[in-house]
Amino acid sequence: MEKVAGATLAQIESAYRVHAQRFHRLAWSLLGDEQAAWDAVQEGVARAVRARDSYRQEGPVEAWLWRSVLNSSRSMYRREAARHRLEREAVCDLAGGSPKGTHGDASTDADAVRAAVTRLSERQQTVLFLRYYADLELIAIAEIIGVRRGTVSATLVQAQARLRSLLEGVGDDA
Amino acid sequence: MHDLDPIVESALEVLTPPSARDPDWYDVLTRARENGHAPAALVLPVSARGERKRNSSRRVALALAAALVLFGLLVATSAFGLRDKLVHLFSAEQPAPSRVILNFELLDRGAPSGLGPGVVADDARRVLTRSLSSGLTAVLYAAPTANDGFCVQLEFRDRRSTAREGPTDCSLASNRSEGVRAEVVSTGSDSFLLYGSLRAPEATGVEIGLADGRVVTPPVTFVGPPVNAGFFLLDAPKTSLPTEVRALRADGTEIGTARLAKPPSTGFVGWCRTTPCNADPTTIRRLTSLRTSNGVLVTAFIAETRDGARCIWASWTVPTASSFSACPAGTRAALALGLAAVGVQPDAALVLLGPVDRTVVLRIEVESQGRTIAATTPTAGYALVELPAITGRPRSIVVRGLSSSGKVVASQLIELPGRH
Repeated sequence: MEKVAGATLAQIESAYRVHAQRFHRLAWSLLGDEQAAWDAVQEGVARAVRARDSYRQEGPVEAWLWRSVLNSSRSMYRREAARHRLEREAVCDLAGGSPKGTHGDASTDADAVRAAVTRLSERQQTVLFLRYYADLELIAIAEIIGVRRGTVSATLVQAQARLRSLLEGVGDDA
Repeated sequence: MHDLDPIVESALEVLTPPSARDPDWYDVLTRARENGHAPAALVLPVSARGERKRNSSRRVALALAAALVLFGLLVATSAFGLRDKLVHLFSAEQPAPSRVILNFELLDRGAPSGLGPGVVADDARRVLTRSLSSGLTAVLYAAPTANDGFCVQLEFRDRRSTAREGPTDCSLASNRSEGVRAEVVSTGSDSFLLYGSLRAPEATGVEIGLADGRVVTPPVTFVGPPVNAGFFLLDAPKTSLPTEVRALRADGTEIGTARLAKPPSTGFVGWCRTTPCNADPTTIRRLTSLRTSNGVLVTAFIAETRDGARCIWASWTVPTASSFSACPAGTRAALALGLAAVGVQPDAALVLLGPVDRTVVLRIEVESQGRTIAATTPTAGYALVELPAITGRPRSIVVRGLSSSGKVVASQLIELPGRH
């Protein structure tokens, strides 16, 4: 495997193989679509491969890849999330009308959680998902999203409190 | 996870259960290579601009060194009576972009064991650029191989400098045809491009015979070690296709001739020379790869056809290239279950499917004689799946597309073809 200034393909491949499933869970959480999430992961890592010379070894390759997957997911969400939702609804109608709640308890729960999560701010969602799905320390999350550790900690507390209140049916509409 | 609320933790667990899909590193490399086809937001990382800045100062230094070397070579060749042959320092040529380097890397990664060209992808350089009558600009890259050969890749750029991958070829380094090799690829509905190499030490140029009887002499760019070859491009309209290429010494005597097949080849990718139907080679993209249970690497490709349709095909080498394809017209839009094609090699059968509308179909199952024999999840709207051995008759399968709830939303009956 060749060595380039920055990260090597071997480093990226190794990190990708270890973390791909967790990358996917993060992207899935943000996008709400399993297939789109894989696209976001693949594009995010591909973007890192293309820009591997820019990796400055200021932290592990894994953190750099997390940032790339996160940015890819956000880009895709902003570009396509609304369209995906419309398509899913249209497909549901075409397929004979399978309204939410008819897929069993798991889907019902997931839909309820997803609805609640979408009411968190983007930063709250990101911090929550990076903490839970990526199992990253607060300082690592701070480096990935470019804020101070204290901000991450406060955001995490706010996100959990708001999500819990939404799940318990006492959330506000703000 | 001590700092997470248990209720929140259990809610997040429900939100995204772990996926059953395996990571696909080949897909990552392919996406990285195809930045011209990637979503706009992902095409040009900021770091790429920094890379160019860093490279520019290095290129200035290399250019100065190259000028000195070229001056020395010019003096030397004049002394030996080879005034017409100017040899460029290969390492001083402009480095290939990362997408081209990745493509060269894939030649070895994608080749069957022991059949890779051993290409030194990081040393790839741009050796030729030519404006074509079709409005495209052709760029030829070369990379040395570990066994003193080289591979080339053509790239076509449109007026907006959007790059499209052309054929990649490792056969030009062969000494067949007395050191001169050439191929012709289509660049549009009525235009073709001849690209070739010259690898005879005493050769100083080529002349190309055209179908209308004319003879042309394109400029040849020679590069030194480790490639040690001359390269040439010729923009050829349909009315005057090249028929042969002759390698010449400085005194005009002929060293050897490469005769070109008629009609010209329509292009190929990597070590596979099989391009189906009416595919436009400048639009070829690799979709996915699969290593079959008998160890053969099968690669699926997609390309636009010149009549506005879309082809998908898969190819492999056992031991010579084989392929199967599906190219009906008017299939640009994603269907619930897209096109389906089946190929059979001696020990494995494969199904290639796509484009699948992924908002409808999340899982593909293959059924034979009443039982499910294979299943997969489409990747970016396409699926390539190996079938287990099928015995008995009838030799047909049913491909079914399943929704997220497991409901069959589309199906196709496919007759299995005879063995190749």
